[in-house]
Amino acid sequence: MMLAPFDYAAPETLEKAVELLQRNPEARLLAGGQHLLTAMKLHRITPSMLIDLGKIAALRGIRRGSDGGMRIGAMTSLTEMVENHDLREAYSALVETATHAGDPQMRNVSTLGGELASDGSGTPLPAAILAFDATLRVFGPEGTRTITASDDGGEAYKMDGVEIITAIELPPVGERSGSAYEAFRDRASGRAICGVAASISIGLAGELQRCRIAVIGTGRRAARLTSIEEALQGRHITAETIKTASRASYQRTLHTDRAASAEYKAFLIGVLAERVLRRAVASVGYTS
Amino acid sequence: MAQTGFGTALKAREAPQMLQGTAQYTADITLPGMLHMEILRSHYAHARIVHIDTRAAAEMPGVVRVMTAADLEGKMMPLPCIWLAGGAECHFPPHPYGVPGAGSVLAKEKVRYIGDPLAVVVAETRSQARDALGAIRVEYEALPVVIGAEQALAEGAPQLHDEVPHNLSAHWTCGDQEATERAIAGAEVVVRHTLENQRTINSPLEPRSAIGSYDPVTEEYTLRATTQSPHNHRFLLAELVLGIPLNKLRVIAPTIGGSFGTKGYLYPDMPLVLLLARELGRPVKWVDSRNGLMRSTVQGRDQKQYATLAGSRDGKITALSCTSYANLGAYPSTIGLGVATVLMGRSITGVYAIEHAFCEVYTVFTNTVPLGAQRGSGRAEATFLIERLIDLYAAEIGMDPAEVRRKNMVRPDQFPYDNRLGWLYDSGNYQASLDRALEMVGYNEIGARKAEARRRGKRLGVGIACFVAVCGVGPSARMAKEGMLGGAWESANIRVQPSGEISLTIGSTPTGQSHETTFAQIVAEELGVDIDTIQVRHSDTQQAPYGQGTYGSRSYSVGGSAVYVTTQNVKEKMRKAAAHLFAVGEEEIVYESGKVFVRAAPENVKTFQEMALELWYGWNLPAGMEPGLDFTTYFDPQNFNFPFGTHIAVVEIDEQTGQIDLVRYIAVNDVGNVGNPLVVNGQIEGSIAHGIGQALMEEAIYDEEGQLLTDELLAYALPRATDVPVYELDRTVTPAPQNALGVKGAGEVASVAPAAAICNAICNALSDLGIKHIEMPVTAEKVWRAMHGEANAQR
Repeated sequence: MMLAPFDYAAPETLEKAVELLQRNPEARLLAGGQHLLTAMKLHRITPSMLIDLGKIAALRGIRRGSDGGMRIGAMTSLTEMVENHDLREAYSALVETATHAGDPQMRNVSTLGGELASDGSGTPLPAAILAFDATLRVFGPEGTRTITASDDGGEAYKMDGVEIITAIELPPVGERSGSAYEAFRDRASGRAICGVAASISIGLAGELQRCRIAVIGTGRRAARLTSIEEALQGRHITAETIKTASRASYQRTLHTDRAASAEYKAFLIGVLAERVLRRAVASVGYTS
Repeated sequence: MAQTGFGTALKAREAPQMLQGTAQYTADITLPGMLHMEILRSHYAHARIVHIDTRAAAEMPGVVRVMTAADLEGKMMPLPCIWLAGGAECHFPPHPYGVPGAGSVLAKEKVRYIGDPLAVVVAETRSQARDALGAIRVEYEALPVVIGAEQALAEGAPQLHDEVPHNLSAHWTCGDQEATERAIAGAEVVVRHTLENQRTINSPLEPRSAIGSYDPVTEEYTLRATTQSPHNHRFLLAELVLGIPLNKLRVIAPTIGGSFGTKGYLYPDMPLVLLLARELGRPVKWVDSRNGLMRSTVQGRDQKQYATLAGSRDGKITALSCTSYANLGAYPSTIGLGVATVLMGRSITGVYAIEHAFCEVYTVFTNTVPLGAQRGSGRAEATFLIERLIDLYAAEIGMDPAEVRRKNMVRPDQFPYDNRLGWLYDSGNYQASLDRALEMVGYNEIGARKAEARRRGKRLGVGIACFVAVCGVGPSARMAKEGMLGGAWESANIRVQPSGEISLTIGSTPTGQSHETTFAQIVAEELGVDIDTIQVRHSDTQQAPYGQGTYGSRSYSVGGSAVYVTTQNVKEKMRKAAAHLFAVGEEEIVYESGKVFVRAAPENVKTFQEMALELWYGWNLPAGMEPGLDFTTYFDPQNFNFPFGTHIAVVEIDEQTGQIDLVRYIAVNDVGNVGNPLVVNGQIEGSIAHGIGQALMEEAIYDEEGQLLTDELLAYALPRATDVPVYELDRTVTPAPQNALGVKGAGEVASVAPAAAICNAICNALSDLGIKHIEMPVTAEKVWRAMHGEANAQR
């Protein structure tokens, strides 16, 4: 398909990029383009301008934060994330979502920020971000601000139209922590019909100290599965407690679409939750 | 000289240019001064066209011409349809020459499916043409829509064509209805089942395209297009669409990026670019999009079969009957009707000797994209029917499905075998194929594997499908009886150059089958020359000898046979000329390894190159012999050929989610002698992927208003590399008796069994739950529902 005409800019600073966004309300940010260009080719959106963030050096790279957590620049490619040793060790669910987000060629161009900005398009990364309680750093006309998961009732991060994601900050996970992601995919698009990410830590007595579970594919945005979290919080971990909690009723309204019925999705979320929790627990080395 | 002849696993000569992106497809061609055409397609599945306003579009930047049906009056006839249901009364839209019509080139008065072309815009650039489409205003008056074939036959259903009452194009039958019904009535066991082969969307990598050009000095038209039948399309376009002298039309098929049957059809864009090129005095190019392909290129399958199998308690099948409804879509496609009737109906007995058989097919017009061929068409639907029924029958009588198959197969000593429905199976050893496949899968250990899988939370199932597929279409006189308005032979030309190099020109057109490699191998083998000295040309009607098109897995057995016969003519003339040179009798001359020599005095020898030069100079030839080595041969086969095989699928189904994992796929195929094992295996692997797609993934979904919901690849599930297992392939070899090469069709045969094998495996995995059938494509959710005892599974 042919693209409709548009202007292109590749600013070298965040300030310049925000200025372009303010001046061109119909502009879109180009941060990999795996979702954006597809939508443009199908003429679902016809932006007046693409502002390519690829030349802003400050947006790249993965480094350890002062608190022992990790900071990932928004324009870091998914390939860099998948290949990063520290991320694989401590934040495996995030790496798994990055792996699910596309094949190697796509991962080479897709960026973390691009994926997060495309929440609702089937990309699984927002689920992992929620499960790790990550903080989003965004830059806008008023300067830098941070957004956390809890800011929006357990839903994923909402931003203003003229803000740019600059980085995410993952809090340290501590000892005896584990995480996992699994999805059930649509066979046409390869996108998740639903996907569940879990991040947990287990106390010395075998009790669940921290438990964050997030799902994608159930609505426009990624969301926490708080009913399961609450059912598990502080409980002694066994296969049975995980199974029971995973079947906890799902409160949001699901919609039937071509890929799956609402009731099948609800069932799958329970199965996936159980599977990721068991894997996360197993990865700690704790046998329930 | 390296081994390069027939039977060698040579890498395809075509591969480097395909892999490196240097192959030139129609869309890659730019002619001087070329304009670009875009097509406005209907947004309604059924509507009266009240008014089309093109004025605004005509004023858009770069727009040179806007054309609707009104502009075609007196300039263009409707497209013709050239394959009827042989022997049946057929109803079609009209055509002035009395042949069946396939609808006007641009929709007149009514649109009948989404995608029906209404108007075209020609502009300086493709973007300008596309933008101008949006400025065309069409006023529609919506009409009621009908999507399914059975619904379209019902009283009061919306009528598509005035000339076709009840939307019924034909009611075609084969076999002995009365005897079959009698046998069913008297049988110990009767299994009845309804099977649906869902509609699929053909998805070659390259969408269709066409470039028309016109030379006002010579008054000659040239069409460059994605056509797998350039000669045939030239004939039909000149004679039955444009009404111009055949000599004034040249058709060229540049490199084609896959077809699976779709590019053997006439489409509106072909005559349109030619007419526009003449009227505008500049070449006109049209390139389809993926979305356009999905809305307008012929779609596949779409038959609903009501089938009955009868047999004895001890596993002998005595009768088979089928009533099928084939959904033709909105218009008859060029050869769609024959595909839906003959190729399906005559094939339902499969590899089995069934005494009484009968099949009837209702072919029906609906408000969907026209139906055509898809790799394995007809035969895949028939194989699905018999192979699913056999498993149901085996379950009913408590016999192993492999044993039921073995017990009923045509025996090797029964060939040639008349299958009671019109096919004369040429040769085969069906039991050997079944035995080999069972051995490969380890059929005896399946019980243990099922138990092991169960411990992992998986249900393992094994499904067998045996098949025979009519290929090598076909004897021309026979095809006439089957309703084809055309021949089914092929031809080839060999011109030996004075240097001894060979130019082989074939009538057949490749769409990705590596003709340039495999046809050259026949020449290298027969003439004993290095393959590097052989050039293969094709697909340009100004140069190529005649051919009837690439379909029905016929290129190698029919076209290849023409090449073979031509090589024998070359050898014979060389031997005659050599006999004269050496002053011996012709019978004294031996042709061997690219040389001719005197049997009793081998020192009297001439190489191929030397003989080529002798015949080029023509200084010393036998009396009456013409100079040169230039032969054209036509080959019309005596019978079809009947490749066969056994496929076995092993699936594991997740006990919780119903997710299906195709863990093993065993395919034992017999395509007769094999000209190039690499090429044939490539065809087989691609074919299996096609079948996997139908079984598990693919489905064209139309909503009640006739909108195609799966008109992009984000919505239409095609198998990808990660969706297919590593195939376990083997073959048996039963040479075809009716051609000297002993080859049978190979391009589509392996696509006919997978759907049945996979569905059999799924039902095998779920058999203890009482699940007998799940409709294709079998998705995880359908399995999950079936496991939970819900509807849409037949019990």
